[in-house]
Amino acid sequence: MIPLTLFLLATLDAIFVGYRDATGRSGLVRKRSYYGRAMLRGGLVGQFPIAVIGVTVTLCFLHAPDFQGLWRAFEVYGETLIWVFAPYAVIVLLAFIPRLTPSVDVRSMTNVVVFGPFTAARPFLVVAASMLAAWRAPRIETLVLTGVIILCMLSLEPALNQLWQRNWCRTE
Amino acid sequence: MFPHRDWPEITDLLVAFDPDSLERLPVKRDNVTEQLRLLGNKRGARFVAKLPVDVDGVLDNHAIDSLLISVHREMQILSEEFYHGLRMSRLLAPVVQTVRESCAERPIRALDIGCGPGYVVRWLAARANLGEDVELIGTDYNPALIAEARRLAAIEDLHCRFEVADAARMSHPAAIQFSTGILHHFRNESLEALLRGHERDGVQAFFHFDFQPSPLAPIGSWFFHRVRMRHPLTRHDGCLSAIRAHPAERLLEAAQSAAPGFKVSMFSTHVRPLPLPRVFHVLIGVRPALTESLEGNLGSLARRLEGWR
Repeated sequence: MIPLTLFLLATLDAIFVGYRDATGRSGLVRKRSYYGRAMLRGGLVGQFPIAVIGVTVTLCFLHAPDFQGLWRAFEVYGETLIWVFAPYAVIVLLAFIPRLTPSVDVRSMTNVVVFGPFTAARPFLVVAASMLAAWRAPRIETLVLTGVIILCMLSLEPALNQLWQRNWCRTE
Repeated sequence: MFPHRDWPEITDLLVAFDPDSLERLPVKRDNVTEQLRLLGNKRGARFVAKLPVDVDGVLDNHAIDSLLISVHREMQILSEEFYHGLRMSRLLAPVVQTVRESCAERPIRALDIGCGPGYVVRWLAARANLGEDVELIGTDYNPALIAEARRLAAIEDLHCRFEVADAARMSHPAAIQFSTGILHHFRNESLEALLRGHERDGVQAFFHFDFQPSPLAPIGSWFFHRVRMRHPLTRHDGCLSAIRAHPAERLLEAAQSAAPGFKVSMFSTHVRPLPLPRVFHVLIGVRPALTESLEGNLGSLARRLEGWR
């Protein structure tokens, strides 16, 4: 259950990164399909860092001197990540509800109060959550995994940006 | 160093146009960097110093145009996330209705002054449903931005047009004139000069939508641009816009002196009933005979008027 939850949270994060990465690149007005493609791209490209994390975990198990001990450590590690990332994701998703109102002030407010600050907090949250998880389950494998998670999650946005720089994405 | 309200926005310095012919004038890179350095904007000077020039040290037009288009495209994030199109349409629709009721001339022309790549005009054309008798026009001095506006409008098959023109000198002035985010570019007397353009016969109403200065505005603007924008020029000029914004009193005084044929008011300055200032406020002016009709057409939004002068 823990790996599946973390996979879903990471994929959701990648979808949002894909959306955010596409903003400011197309001057069109009607952009539903443009943003749809961007979110799909984010979700798909986001599977690479998730795969890297998965491979890292597998390699750790393959080389673990005590399988059971490592399993318990990774359980604690994963639970800690969920405790941090799940509320973050829930708040972001809940912030879409006020956007259904006709009031542009309320809708704009969600950008000011939730989406802006949460976007700014994301890299710090990734680092803090991973380090907290490593602190709660201290082992060399969890330290390695912490480095891999930070590197993978923070490299997604620059990676997507590279796709634009190489003109591999369509704007209009 | 923290940006100062006397610093010009870099995008304003990179292009120059003859005010009479609208011909593009050469801009020497060294002059721009020197101007920025003298004002203490060393970071801005360093940015400009890296821009491409020809053998005479004149900024490369093609590179500058590409830069301006990408910066404006990025700035569109602000318009999208703060719903500029929808906000404009909610004010423009009652203004159009007021003009429709009082003037026989058709089509009713609504003109966006300094439209850049024309996001607001294109949004209005795509979504506002203002009526078949309304013609939406965007004007700007910069031919590259107008070409981009036309290109984008053509892709989405939008019924609006864009002209390289000085709105104040158009042979047939539009009945409704408006702008988004340009007032703070006009400093000192140039603000009055811009507003004086509304005094021409045929203009029935104008409104200008711009940043509202407040103690929180510079921090909020800095944060927003830091988080959401990528290009250093967008971040620089975007932050500066909020700092350079004119207070309501300055706008009202300028409008009263430059366009005495209009009743003017600020619109939508606070999130009522809270004392919370909005990020943007609106300077609105209408011919005196139309104030009552406009208030009626605004409906509940009329409460957002701060009182006519």
